[in-house]
Parts: sequence; structure tokens; C-alpha cells
Amino acid sequence: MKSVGRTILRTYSSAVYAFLYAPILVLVVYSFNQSLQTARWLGFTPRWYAQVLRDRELIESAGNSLLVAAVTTVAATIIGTLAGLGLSRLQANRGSATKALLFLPIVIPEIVVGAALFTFFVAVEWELGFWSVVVAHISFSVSYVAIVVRARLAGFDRTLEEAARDLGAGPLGVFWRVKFPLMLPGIVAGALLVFTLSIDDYVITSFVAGVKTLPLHIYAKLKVNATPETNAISTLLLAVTIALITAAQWLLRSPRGRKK
Amino acid sequence: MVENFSTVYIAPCFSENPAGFMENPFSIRVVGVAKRFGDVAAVDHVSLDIRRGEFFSLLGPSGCGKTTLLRMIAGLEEGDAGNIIIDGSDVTRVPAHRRPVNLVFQQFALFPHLNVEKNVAFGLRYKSGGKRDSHKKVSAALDLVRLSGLQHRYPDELSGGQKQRVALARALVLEPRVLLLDEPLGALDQKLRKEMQVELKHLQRRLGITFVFVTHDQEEALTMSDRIAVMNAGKVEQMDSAAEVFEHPSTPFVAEFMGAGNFFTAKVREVDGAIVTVISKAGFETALLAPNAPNYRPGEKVRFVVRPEKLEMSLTEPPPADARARMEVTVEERVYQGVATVWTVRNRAGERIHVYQQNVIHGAGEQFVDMGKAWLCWDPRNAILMREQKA
Repeated sequence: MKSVGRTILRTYSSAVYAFLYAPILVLVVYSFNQSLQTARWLGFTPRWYAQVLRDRELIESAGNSLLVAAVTTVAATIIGTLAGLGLSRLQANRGSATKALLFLPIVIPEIVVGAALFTFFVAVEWELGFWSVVVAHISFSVSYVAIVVRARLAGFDRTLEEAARDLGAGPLGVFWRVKFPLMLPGIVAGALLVFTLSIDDYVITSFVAGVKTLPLHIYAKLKVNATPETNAISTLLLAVTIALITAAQWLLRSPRGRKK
Repeated sequence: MVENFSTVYIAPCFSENPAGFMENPFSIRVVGVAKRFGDVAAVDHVSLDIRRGEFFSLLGPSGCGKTTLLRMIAGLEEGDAGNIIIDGSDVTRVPAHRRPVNLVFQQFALFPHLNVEKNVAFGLRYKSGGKRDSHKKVSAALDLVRLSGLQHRYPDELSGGQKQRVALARALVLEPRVLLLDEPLGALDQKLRKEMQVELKHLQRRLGITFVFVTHDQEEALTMSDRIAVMNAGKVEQMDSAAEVFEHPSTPFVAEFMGAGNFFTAKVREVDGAIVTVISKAGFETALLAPNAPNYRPGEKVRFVVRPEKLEMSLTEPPPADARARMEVTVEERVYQGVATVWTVRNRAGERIHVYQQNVIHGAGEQFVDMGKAWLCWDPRNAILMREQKA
């Protein structure tokens, strides 16, 4: 009986994982396919990657994307962390309007946000360019950081702050030596989220872009013709993301890990 | 290492202090301190003096205000009224991080992201000269609490008892003038509790620091304290030596809290100096000693208390030559506890009485039958007289 249950569970979870990762695996495999028709396997080749690296426009748009993501991540993480800190100090039954307003951007459809931002920039006569993209990205990212940081602080033991004060730490000491180290995993998680959101955003960016970002470039390319080159770009993007998350995990590894 | 530590830590309290320091015998003076939480007076105009170098306990049931008072001394809670004076200087408006006291928290409050060494060293950087030899100071403090060799462990790798010791070391390394302890043994199991009680007491004796200890456990308070303040509903009911609080509770609340639950209702018949003769509701007359008697008047309704272990039970009435007080009772229940048997009996006035009898011989107490008659007697000096209402 027990083993039947276990078999079912194992099959089911394998199916879920297959569903999640099979398309990505196919993408990676086909990025090495010789065939121009993406559906047929004709043999291994790295030439699409070589082609990607020679594509000037693509390199430029990737550079734009990284720059936008970097600036957005720094700004949104700082603003969102402060917001999360502030919210965590509110009593549970207070400031519900403030909280709702901060979290609303997450559920508003992207197309609405994009259209709204476009109208806004036109109305205030802000020229669409690099900074309009950055501002747009910050505006939809802040909420994510605030939520993650606030969740992290929800489990924070206030007596630790009191213990620090009792041991002689002033307000700054309490923050930097106790509160900040304990909320750091939340801040980093928020920052990672923002970076990922920013680097792959298409909908909102398409409304406000004055520069070409990577998603815009890939989409434009796909519309002309789908080549294994796009598979190669996507695989590279995937590699960068995995590397980033691994790096973050490594930075945040429990201090005990360092000894063992 | 331990020797070094003791010279460093014991000396300051008595020798290296500024002139005039010794003239002030009080470590802490609490003067008319009050604190309300909404409609509840958590601490209701409390005044008490804690002497230098004593082990002082704040004892009371949960919600009596003992922890709030302790936190006010630490500076973690701001009072509504009154003053707190530490070593002669008024610290009422001084924030927690500038007060010369340290607190050991109930749940230890160790920093989870720092190892034992860094936890203990945490406060040293805020102390003048504290960073010098900080490594040495930390290991001396850990030696003191018998926790050497675990410097690199993290709090979640420690047992409850070990966490307790780290919390102690973290406070003691700062050489506080007063160590405040908020039910520090509450999270430990029974056996470890007993061991830590003895160890804390020894530590306090060795260091000569004033300890202010909060607990709801009367036995713990009695075991460890020089003096005890029993608190109830934000007020101090009685403040005395441990033995005095136990033997001579001054209010019904204290008597009950210290485990002396045998109350007898009576009326004053005659007052002759410190000797008060009363007639109990159960019909017998007894003379009681009330040395610091607040002027009892004949006819006044009073109560007196006799602790369960001060009562002796026998099958027959003691001879008249026996000077002890006595009353006839009906045996209702026996609870065998191994070392002792606790009897529940009832007198003619319907008052329920507990009798604690040591099982000196095998089969002690077999002569008593349920619902049978028996006699209780006691030395009148062991009966404590008190007013119906708290004065």
C-alpha cells in the first residue's frame, strides 16, 4: 500500500518537473542544432553562438538591458527596502490603504501600466529614452522588494533589538549589526527578483522605450524569422540567470557553511 | 584565566570606585515608579531599594508587573511616573544603551547570525577600553560560565543550557554593576533548572554583583535570594528576607503565594501588647503573637494562617498540659507523595485545611480513616495573624 502511494507520488512529481523543465531543455538542445528549421535535429553545431556574438545590434541591446537592469535593481532595492522596513513597523491593523497602494502595481495588468506610463511621459514631456525605461522599471519593481523585505521582517524577533540596546548599541549599531544582517537575505532575494523582472520585461518596455532592450530585439527578430540564433540567445540568458542566482546563494550561504 | 577574570571582575564593586561610592549602600532605588498599558496599571507606584551585592528577587504571578519593572530598570520600557536611581545617579531619562546594567532575557535573545564568541563580544565595542583584549575577555567570561571551547558554535547549534550560559557571559563580560535576569531559567527543564539555580547563586557570590532576578516560582526565589519583593497587581505586597517572607507573610496574598493556604477566619477578643487573643470561627480560642501588629481592636474580624507543614495531626486530643493550639477536624482526602503525605481535612466551620506530613516511618498515617475524626495541633508562634483586607 505504502509503496503504491510512493510510486504514484514519484510519477506525479516527475511529470510536474518534466512539464516545467522539458521546454527549456528542448530550447537548450536546439540551440546547438545545425538545421535552420528549428523542429528537426540535423547534428551538433556551435555556430549560432558565434553568430550571436557577431550580431552588433544584439550585443548593443543586451548591453542596454544589463544597464537598465543594474540601475533599476539598485534604485528599486533601496526604495523597496525602506518601504518594507517602514511597513513592518506599522501595527497589523494600521496603514491598510498605504499597503494596498504599494502592492497594487503587482496585480495591475502590465499592459495598463505600460499605457499609463506612456501617457504620463508624454504628458510631462519626458523624452522617451534610457531613463524613461529605468523609471518605468523601478515603478513596477519597488513593490516586489517591499513585499519580500516585509515578509522577512515579519519573523524578526524584537527582543534581539532590545538585547542589542541593552548591550550598549545605539540606534545605528542596532540597525547595522543586528537588523540589517538578519534582513539581508530578504534584500538580496528582492534585488534578484527585480533584476530578473527588469531584464526580461517586454510589455511595459515596449511602450516607453527610447532604447532597444534585449527582449525588444529578440521579439523583433522572431517576427522576421525564427532561427536557432534566438535559441542561442535564450540559452545564454538562462546561463546568466543561473549564474546570478548561484552567486547570490553563495553570498547568502549560512555562515556555518564556511567552516564545514 | 579564571583567576585573572575574578580579579578583574570582583574588584571593581568594592575597591576601584570613585570616592563616596561606598557611602551609598543601594545599587538601585526605585522611587514611585508607575507604568500603565492602556487601562491596566502594570506597575502601580512601586518604591524599593536594592542593596549593593545582594541577590534580590521580584516574585509574583504572571501579569503582576515584575517583568515590566525589570525592563524599566534596564531602560527598555519608559515609565509614566517615578524615578530610577542606579548607584546614586538618576537614570530615569537615560536610554537603555547608556545604563550600567545588563539584562539576561527569558528566551536568551542570542544573535542568530553571530557565533558564540561574537555574541559575547557584541557589547565590548561600546564600552570604553572594551575592545582591548576583547578575545581574552570573551574567553574569560566563557570560562566563568563553564562554556569554553564552543566559541565557534552558532546559537542554533547549542542546547538550552548552553544558550543560557552564553546569554550570561554576554552580559557579564561587560562588568555590569547590576545584572538583571528575566525568568532566565524558565526555558530549561527541571533538572537543569536546579543546577543553574545553584550555579547562579555561586556566580553572584563570587562576583559580588547585585543580581535582580524575576521569577514566578516561589521555591526558586527562596533558594536563591537574599531578599524578595512579592508583587501582585502592580504593587509590592511584601519586601523582606527570603525566610521572613516565607515564615511571616504580611498579607493573605503573600501567604497564599508562598504556599501557606490554610486561612482561618476569626474575631479579636482581647489585645494585650503584642499578644492578640482571637476566637476562631470554628469555635476555639487561641493567643497569637503579632509583634509588628498594626493596632488590632477587640471585635475586629481577622484571619490567621498556619503553614501545612507546621500542623501535626493525631487521632486523639492532645493532653491539656500540651500548650499548643488545637482543633478537631474530619479527614477528607489523602495524597501520597512519596516523601510526604498531604492530607485535606475540614474543621467545624467548614474551612478546608491542608496538612503536610513527612513519611518518617513506613505506614505513617495509616491510623486515619476517610471521613474519620482527627485532631490538629500547632505551636501558636507558627500562626500568622493578618487583617481581613490588606492594610
